[in-house]
Amino acid sequence: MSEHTRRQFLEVAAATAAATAAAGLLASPASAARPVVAPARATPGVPGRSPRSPRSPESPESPESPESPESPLPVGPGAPFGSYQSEIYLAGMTAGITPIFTTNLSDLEAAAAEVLSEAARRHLLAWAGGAAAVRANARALSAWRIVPRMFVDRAERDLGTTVLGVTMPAPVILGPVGGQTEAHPAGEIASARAAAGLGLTYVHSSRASTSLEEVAVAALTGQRWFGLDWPDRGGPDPVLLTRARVSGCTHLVISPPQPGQGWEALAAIRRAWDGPIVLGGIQDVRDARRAVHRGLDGIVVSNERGRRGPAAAGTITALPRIADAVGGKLAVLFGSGVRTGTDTYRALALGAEAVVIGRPYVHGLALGGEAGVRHMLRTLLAELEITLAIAGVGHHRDLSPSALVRD
Amino acid sequence: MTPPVAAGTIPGDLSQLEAQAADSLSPEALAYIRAGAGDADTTRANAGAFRHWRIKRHRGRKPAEVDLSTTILGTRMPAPVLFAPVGVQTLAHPDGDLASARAAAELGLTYLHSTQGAYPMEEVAAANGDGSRWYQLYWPTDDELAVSFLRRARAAGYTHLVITLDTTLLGWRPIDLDLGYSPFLENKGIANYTSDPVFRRKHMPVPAELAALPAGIAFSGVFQNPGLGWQQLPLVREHWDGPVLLKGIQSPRDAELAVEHAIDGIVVSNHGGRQVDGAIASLDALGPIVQAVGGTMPVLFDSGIRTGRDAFKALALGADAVLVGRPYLYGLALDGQRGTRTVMRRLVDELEEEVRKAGLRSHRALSRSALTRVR
Repeated sequence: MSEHTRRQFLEVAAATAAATAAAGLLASPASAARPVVAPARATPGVPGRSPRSPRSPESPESPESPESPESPLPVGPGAPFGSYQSEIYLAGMTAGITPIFTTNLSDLEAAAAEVLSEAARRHLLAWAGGAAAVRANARALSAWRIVPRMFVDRAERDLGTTVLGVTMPAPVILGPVGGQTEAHPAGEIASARAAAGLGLTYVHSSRASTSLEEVAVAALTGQRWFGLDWPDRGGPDPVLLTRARVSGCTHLVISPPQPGQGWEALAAIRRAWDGPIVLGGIQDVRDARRAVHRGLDGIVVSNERGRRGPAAAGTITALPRIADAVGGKLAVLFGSGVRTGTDTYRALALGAEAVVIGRPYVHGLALGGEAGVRHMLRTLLAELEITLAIAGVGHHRDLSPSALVRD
Repeated sequence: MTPPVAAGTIPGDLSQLEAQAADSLSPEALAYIRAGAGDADTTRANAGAFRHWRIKRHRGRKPAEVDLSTTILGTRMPAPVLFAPVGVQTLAHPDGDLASARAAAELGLTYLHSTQGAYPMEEVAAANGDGSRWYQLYWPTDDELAVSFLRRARAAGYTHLVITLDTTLLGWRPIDLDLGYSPFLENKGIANYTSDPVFRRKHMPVPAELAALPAGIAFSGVFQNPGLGWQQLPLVREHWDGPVLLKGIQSPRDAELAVEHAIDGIVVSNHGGRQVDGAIASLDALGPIVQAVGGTMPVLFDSGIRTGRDAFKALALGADAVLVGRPYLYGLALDGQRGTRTVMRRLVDELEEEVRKAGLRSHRALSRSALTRVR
């Protein structure tokens, strides 16, 4: 074989192997459940790029899979979340495939604004408590700065945790957001499937545009909770709660009572629901203690629907005190303003057992349907895992406020 | 500082370098050089931290002569400014690290060769000639390869070892990821590996000259090393008889641990914000670390130095010397070796002028009292 032929042969072999790796990009990294294949958008011939080896995936069926144990790169199913980074670089360098949308989750809202309807944007903003609350939450989160530690053995990278009896591959829950078909025709089905594919828990909203049963069928293997508004005087709808239970929802997340609503409905909810109950919208220690007193199983520290108006200090400000006061007595989750892996890191360090995200995944949904939600989630999890490793944190449970300083 | 300053294309205001150099770089190269982790919040914080300090006006007599020379761990330096270890410099200019190593030698400044260099350490050493050079190590997962790197570095005349601790994994860098661009997978910035006998024998499926991608993948396999820990230090001591510095320290506790482990010096650095997003500014980490170390070892500073004034501030806050990275790379992009030399010389000249204006004969007399804290 001439030198020229040999060179060509090796280049094609390399490109083929890498194209298989790129195909592995489409598989779930963490769950035994294989998600539906996501269509990655190819951007051939990006101008200004230097020529590289052949990049078209000529033979994606190559038996030489780089996912084999011999591969030095951990990509594909079973690999750590951080391997999404290698997958993206390999796909880019071998097949010219770039991520479906940005990997900077701080830019996601602006990107989604270009595809969302005005009504959908208003809906999402209201869900997060309004523009002022969103700004305050972002400011308050970014004031907490990570102090990385060095030379700490982080060979074992595990984001896994157990929240209220549910084993999770990462401390991230997709919160209850209603009306998701406004963001994308596939709506809640896409979000639930993306969550299930990664093994993450999805909270189905009682205000969803898709029925409990449709979502259950579409994401059968997924861990699902049910998000319910605080009931009116008539008490909770027992049929709805039964449907939630029968369709596989194990936990109930209820929004806090609105002004004028009393706590009487809680007893009726308890009678109609035998699983764990999590109360959202907790913003101060007094409310958190009340939740313990009333026998709730968990709380979400959040400014859900701007219940108390935009707290200028940002919801994260209350978290450390709440975690100090009631942590260990019930599950403390955090659910306001988390957009990135770094934000997740901050909330975990300040006492949350897990974070509940809302708008970021709906922005992902708007930008790319199920593949968009998955890309958003994998980006957040990769960023979280890599940040923990570089900052020298053994496990996220080891995080404490001392991992941060306040600017 | 003998060579004349070439005005060339280097802007007089060094803080404008990045904007000026942007046009000379491909989108991928600019992205790789600029990249910060996540939303680049740490990179911004690094720059912002310098603005929180102002240099006090000194109304007294100014010395005619300023002496910036210093000695760090036995290395004589005409100024307390070092070339930070920067990988893949061929992204900025085809001559890459060879040009930078020559520029450093011309200026008499110490050059730190990156394990991610675009040229093998022996070629860079040859370009650096009689210059002063230290070697920066990314500790690979294969100890035999690490030992091979150390042996080669020693043989090529690198006197000090700087172990970077903050890059056991590559940070999450969206501007690179969004382009799907990694230089290593096209055989750029892995020359120290592909020229290494141990790497070639144990890790490389086919020669990198024949197929870049497998070499890049093999490199990634030995590069990611999150299992690195203090327990590996004896191996270094066994195979490196010169001074050892740790780079990437941001916590005073880690600085104390470095003292306890008899490390020779540390570099306070957050890798220019390329590794962890939302982290403290490196300059904010400096003061408490200097205090924790208490003069028992030299403390060098890295991450955010763009001008001589910045260097002045870091020295006033207790650094014994500073490392400069991106600025010289932008100089390299604009005008090759001459551009790099011009940038570094201008930065040193600016520093000298600031020290003179502060009424001091030497930067070593600097203290925090030369600065005012503003918010």
